[in-house]
Amino acid sequence: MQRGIDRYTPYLFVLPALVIFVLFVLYPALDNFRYSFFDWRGFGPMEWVGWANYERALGSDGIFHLAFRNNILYFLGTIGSEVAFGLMIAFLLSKPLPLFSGLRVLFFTPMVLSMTIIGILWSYIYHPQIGLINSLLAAVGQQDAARAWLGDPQTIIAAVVITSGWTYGGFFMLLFYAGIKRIPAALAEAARLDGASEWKIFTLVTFPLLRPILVIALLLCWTGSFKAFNLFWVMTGEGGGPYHSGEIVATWIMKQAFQFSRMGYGAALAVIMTIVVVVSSTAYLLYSNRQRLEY
Amino acid sequence: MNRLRWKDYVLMLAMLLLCLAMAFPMVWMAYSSMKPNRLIFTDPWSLPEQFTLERFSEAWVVGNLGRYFTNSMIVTSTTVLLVVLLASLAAYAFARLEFRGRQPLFYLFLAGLVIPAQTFVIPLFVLLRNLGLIDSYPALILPYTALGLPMSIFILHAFFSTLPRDLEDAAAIDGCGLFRIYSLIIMPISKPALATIAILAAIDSWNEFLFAMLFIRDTMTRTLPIGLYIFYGHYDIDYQMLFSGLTVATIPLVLFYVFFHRFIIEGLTVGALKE
Amino acid sequence: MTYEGGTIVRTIGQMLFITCLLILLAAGPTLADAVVLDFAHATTGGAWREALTEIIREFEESHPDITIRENAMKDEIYETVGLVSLFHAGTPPDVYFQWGGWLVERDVSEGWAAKLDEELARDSWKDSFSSAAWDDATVGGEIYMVPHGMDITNLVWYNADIFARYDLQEPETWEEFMDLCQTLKDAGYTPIAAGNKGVGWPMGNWAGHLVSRVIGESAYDDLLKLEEGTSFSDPGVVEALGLLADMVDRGFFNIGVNVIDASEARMSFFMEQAVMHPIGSWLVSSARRDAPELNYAGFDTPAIDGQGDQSSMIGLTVGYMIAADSPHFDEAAKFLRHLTSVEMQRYRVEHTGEISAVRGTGDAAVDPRFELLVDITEAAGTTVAPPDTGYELEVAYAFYDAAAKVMDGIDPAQALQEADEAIAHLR
Repeated sequence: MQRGIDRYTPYLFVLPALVIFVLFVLYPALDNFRYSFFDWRGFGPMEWVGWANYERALGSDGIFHLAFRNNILYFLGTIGSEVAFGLMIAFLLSKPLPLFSGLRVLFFTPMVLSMTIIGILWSYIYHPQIGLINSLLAAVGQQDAARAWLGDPQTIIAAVVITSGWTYGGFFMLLFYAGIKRIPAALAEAARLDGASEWKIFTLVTFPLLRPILVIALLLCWTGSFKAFNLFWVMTGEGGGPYHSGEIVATWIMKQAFQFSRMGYGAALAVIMTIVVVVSSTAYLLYSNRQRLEY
Repeated sequence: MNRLRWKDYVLMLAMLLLCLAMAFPMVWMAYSSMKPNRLIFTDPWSLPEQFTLERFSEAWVVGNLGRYFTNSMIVTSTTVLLVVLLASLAAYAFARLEFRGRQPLFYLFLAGLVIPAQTFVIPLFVLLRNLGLIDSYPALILPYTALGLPMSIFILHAFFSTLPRDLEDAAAIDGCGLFRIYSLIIMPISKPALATIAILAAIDSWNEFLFAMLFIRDTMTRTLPIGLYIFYGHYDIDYQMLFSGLTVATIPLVLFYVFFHRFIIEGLTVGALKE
Repeated sequence: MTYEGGTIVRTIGQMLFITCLLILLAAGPTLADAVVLDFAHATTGGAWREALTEIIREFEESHPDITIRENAMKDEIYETVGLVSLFHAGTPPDVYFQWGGWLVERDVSEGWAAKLDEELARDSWKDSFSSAAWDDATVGGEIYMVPHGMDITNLVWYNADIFARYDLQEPETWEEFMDLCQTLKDAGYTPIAAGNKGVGWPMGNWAGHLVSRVIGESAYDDLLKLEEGTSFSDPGVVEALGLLADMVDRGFFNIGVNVIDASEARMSFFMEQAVMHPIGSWLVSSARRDAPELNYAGFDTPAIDGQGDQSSMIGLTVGYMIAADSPHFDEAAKFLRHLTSVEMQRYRVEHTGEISAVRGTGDAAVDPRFELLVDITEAAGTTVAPPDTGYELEVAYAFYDAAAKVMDGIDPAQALQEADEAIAHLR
């Protein structure tokens, strides 16, 4: 026990953070749970409806189900476009070749741009008339493949997935790069001397040792896919795309609460989403921890 | 060992091309700003005929971007300051001090890592409205700070735990109180970790969109992401103006990155390592 | 033993002080003398934007103690979350734009709207407006909106030069309209430019008008009010959307209708890449600014074989309202009187070609399109309310979704069934 402490100092250290956190995160999060049992327009009387909001959300609200499915699709897509992409680039750029440290810097650049800028910019890259993609297709004679990428229900999620990959690839690249740098070079060298190919080195040496980071990366990808709001809102035109094909849970909550003034219902949707995210994240962490111990 | 094999050259070329492709969207945005709308409409890939910078200043003024920029600066820097201060105090207590409730309180903060912001946006809106804070800077500063705390405390806690206790013990023996130890010893040597959390908090705060859209409607206090979105709404078919505005808003960020990238990247890699 | 509490308390005290300072700073000083009127509206472009700026300028000049602070939002944002969130946040505007009909009713029932009968009676202000303008502005016999103009929500604008080139006339019937489109398509044009991005009101409104033409106006009204026994899957409704589906099948529209914004489709029409563009009467205002040389005209949706009044138009009165809680009612009223004065309205009509709700302004119009707009309003036996301004938003949007799906080639019956499911919980 160090001198200079009385019983209260630790609490004083924690107090400011605690006050702000409780007031602006915890209390609202709990209050949200309370709202979900009412029908409320944001002001005026709150009408108790019990489980009705939940029943509707889980039962008849087809758009909510669609939005949820879109979130899952987005998550699966970004595993590839963000995590796998970042991992691949990290590995390729990990060799101490000239220019590579500069290229790493370049890869990370989208991360410092405002997401709004990225969303607007890519809306125009995908634009049916003036966009880069369609005019590129026209230039190589593939006009028929041209479509309204953000307007076609079949491609809208994929389009946002690719934009996310462009944005966050750099972040995951850095994450994995840091991990790769920790691996003793001797290991890779030994394998190389033994005649192993680069691919073998990657799969048998690098990748296994990156497992802890991969675990964190997948978790970040999962929680991030539910937090995603900005890109979708901007790129799918106030959220939703054509008849909700690009709707995600976050945008649907926004519309319910602030467009249709159904705050109680919006709160219920938020509770469901939170439970799913928290439970799955916790389970995932516990599972991977146990794995590691056995490993 | 340093001899480059042909395979290395191939890799370098491939990576270079990939990076150029990655950078191209931003380049396209910038040079499209210098083309008239008709040309953008008919021939998107073409390079501009003249290089003019006029449109940039026009976009800055018309879009009121200076005002929004300033507001974002105020909100972000205050948030970062508060986050660094509050998180380091709390993380230090969690890492070094024994007190009742330490474990549960720590996990309480960690819970904040997985809760998505949409969960409490509605009650938060009501709370801020009741406090009369809507349309003011604290409407964003306070929630951003609160949201930045979990990750920052997590990272700093990990970092502080790895520090050797010698310095602190020596200081204690010399009669230093806890707060002195914290401020004069721990903080100075924690610069890399503090830099990491500052950067993360700054990026999140600068880009934040949902709260900024809902809690601030006044043009005077509006932040940049919303300002750009509204600009986009007004000029959606005036492509040249729109691209100019986007480019102009991007330039300060790119400049900031050019000057501080080493700082940012090192901070993040070191921070990631400590995790 | 040293007690560090002092330092800690001091530091925390400093932090609290700084936070208080920030809060005070942000709360902002209020101008002691001048009255600031918060004016929220959805005019972000076109000739009316310019005219409005001028009208405001003149008002501020003649009333130096009043300043107008505008909050202009894109119309879709304004209609959906924009205006509503201003009220929700407790920072409502003093004066604001609104579409007549259901939205005015909504504002009244939420307690947001100030009653205007008394003010209108003073100095015969009320008499300066045409009598038809009050329907959409009145709720429960009381007036809450100062009428400003009449919007025709949807008509078919066309490029007169291209029509002339192929010897085409304004179609009287739907069959003639289809033949016309086919001719243009065969000639290599995009017959119709449509931009339905977002909630999908452009095509949704046209679809609504078609539905009212097929099943009749009162059936349409019942449908959107979710009356007993009505359903989106009723055969008449399916038939109406089938008309659009048929056009989509025959390739009469541009690609990506649902991903292009209304203003981009308009651009396409102005650049003469498409021959026709179905949108509201406000196109005239945009054209005056963005395509002054374009030779264009418009016709109301042609006659369909159906139950409704085939001369009907879809439209409503729009205007400005004063917030019930506004501390500046008198100043707001002054501003609206200025805005709706004959002088200002004549200036407006001359500048924009829009129809004013104020009498004695018709002959100020310089734009040839003004006449055809007036003709449509006078020839219309009935006026049908657009879904999103005449009815509950959630219902309107479900209907718009169905229309949007049809524009993407989805079977109308299926699209409408899904719409039924979406609003089932409201019945």
